[in-house]
Amino acid sequence: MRILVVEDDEEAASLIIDGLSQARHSVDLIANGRDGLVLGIQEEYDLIILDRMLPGLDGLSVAKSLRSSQIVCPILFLTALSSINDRVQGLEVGGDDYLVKPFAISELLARVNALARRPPMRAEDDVLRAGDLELNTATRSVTRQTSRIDLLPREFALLEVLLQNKGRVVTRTMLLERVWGLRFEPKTSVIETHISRLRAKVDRDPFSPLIRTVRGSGYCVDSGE
Amino acid sequence: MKNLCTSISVLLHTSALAIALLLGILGSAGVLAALYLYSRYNRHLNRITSTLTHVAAGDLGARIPITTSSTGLGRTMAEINVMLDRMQLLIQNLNNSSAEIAHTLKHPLIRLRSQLEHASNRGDENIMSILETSVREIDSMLGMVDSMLDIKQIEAGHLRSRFMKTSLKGLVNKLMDVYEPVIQDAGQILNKELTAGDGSILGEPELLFQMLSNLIENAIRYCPAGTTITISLTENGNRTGWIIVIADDGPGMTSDDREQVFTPFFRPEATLGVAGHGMGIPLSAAIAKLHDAQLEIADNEPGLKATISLSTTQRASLPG
Repeated sequence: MRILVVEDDEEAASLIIDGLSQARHSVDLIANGRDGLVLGIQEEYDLIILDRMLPGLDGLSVAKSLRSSQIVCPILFLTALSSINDRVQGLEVGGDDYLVKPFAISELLARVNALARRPPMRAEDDVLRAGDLELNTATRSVTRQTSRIDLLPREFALLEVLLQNKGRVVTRTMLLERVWGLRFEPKTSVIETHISRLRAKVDRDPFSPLIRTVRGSGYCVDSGE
Repeated sequence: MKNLCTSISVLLHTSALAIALLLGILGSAGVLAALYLYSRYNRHLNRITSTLTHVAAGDLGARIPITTSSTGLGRTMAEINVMLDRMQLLIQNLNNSSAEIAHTLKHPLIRLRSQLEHASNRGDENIMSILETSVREIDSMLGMVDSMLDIKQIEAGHLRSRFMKTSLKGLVNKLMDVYEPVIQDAGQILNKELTAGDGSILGEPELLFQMLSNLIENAIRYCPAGTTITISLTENGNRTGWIIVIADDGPGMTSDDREQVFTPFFRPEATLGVAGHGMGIPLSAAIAKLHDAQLEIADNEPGLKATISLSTTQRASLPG
């Protein structure tokens, strides 16, 4: 992907660029908001990573101006402010996701991948597949090797998010956000517990596990093809 | 501060009445003048009382409108305004300094954490585990700082602008959806008692959910297997609000600990073996207060009982 990073903190920027480059993304770095806006309008990017606090023009204003200039590429906000209001403001001005600093690079990469533009949905996309597993979002049914698996609504939602991101890592915080809309870190092992319940239903055969744990990051459903 | 403001206004009212009486005694010709003066004084006093009431309610910027400064009362009013200016400045400084400490702490922690993570991505196996431990330690410190900043932001009251019609029943159901398997895996028993009503209030659903999460996670983490955790939502006696109770029959807390647990960073001795910062209950209490609600921690004989009383007639529509 071609990514524009607008970040004035040199250390943070070099860490982000290292991470993105290692994941084979091509990255342009700009250290102030005004130049970031100009470049974001002039060039065609697949993703813009915007720090909230920037010299020249702050991140929110940059995002607002980008959106009013009909720039539709996904925007990921970075913020050192953990405060609840800031997160919401970012999404209100047209940001697609946000990450609170400090973040693990694996978390950033997972979110970048999840924001990658996907081909438009077709009618048959009601069915998400991975190997011999099928999840039908219209009939809310799941089958594996043609035998039906009964899932609770929350288990269905977890599996749906994992399948939508097939082949990509989905982190614990992403699952908390997308399944329950939670934006704080629980102190108990909420996600591990729910994943283990889900596995007990869809992954009975230990030799062909569908949901893989990615150490230190989250979970991944491999393509299985 | 409320008491101080009340005493000042009572004192001023009493002295005005005394002056008016004195003037009245001076002769019948003076009666009209006395009445005129008394009503004028009364107007001023009402202004003072109303200003002090606003200040006591948290509007630190409220000042007495002064139309005359030549009279004694006019000078007193000006003096009170000066005192209020000083008090506001002092309180602002206090608020700013703790938020400032948190912000100042956060930036070096972020940088340090980034460097360590960077090193652990490249380092060999031996130093990797040391680095991973360091990153975890820093994350724990950052967690404390974030809780401090969250509490500050909640206390500032601006989040009231985001209040919306919120179903408490919906939140409690979601709470059970998230935590029921966790409770079962901990060998604990979940007991729920839900009212027939929807439990609608004006509030900020994300924060209210976080408040309930903190309380239920405390029960899960500090109680052994076999403990029954009860969540209930009921309408209060006079149908003016809702009561949420999260209770357990676990080890509970001493009465001293139950009082101190509202102080940031306080942790009862018995809980020191479990990771935590002592910010969960202060954060929950701040969220409750934002909603004009009360969080009480009581003895459940045995165990602990957290009760949140939310009113449906709160002043939620007032801006921050």
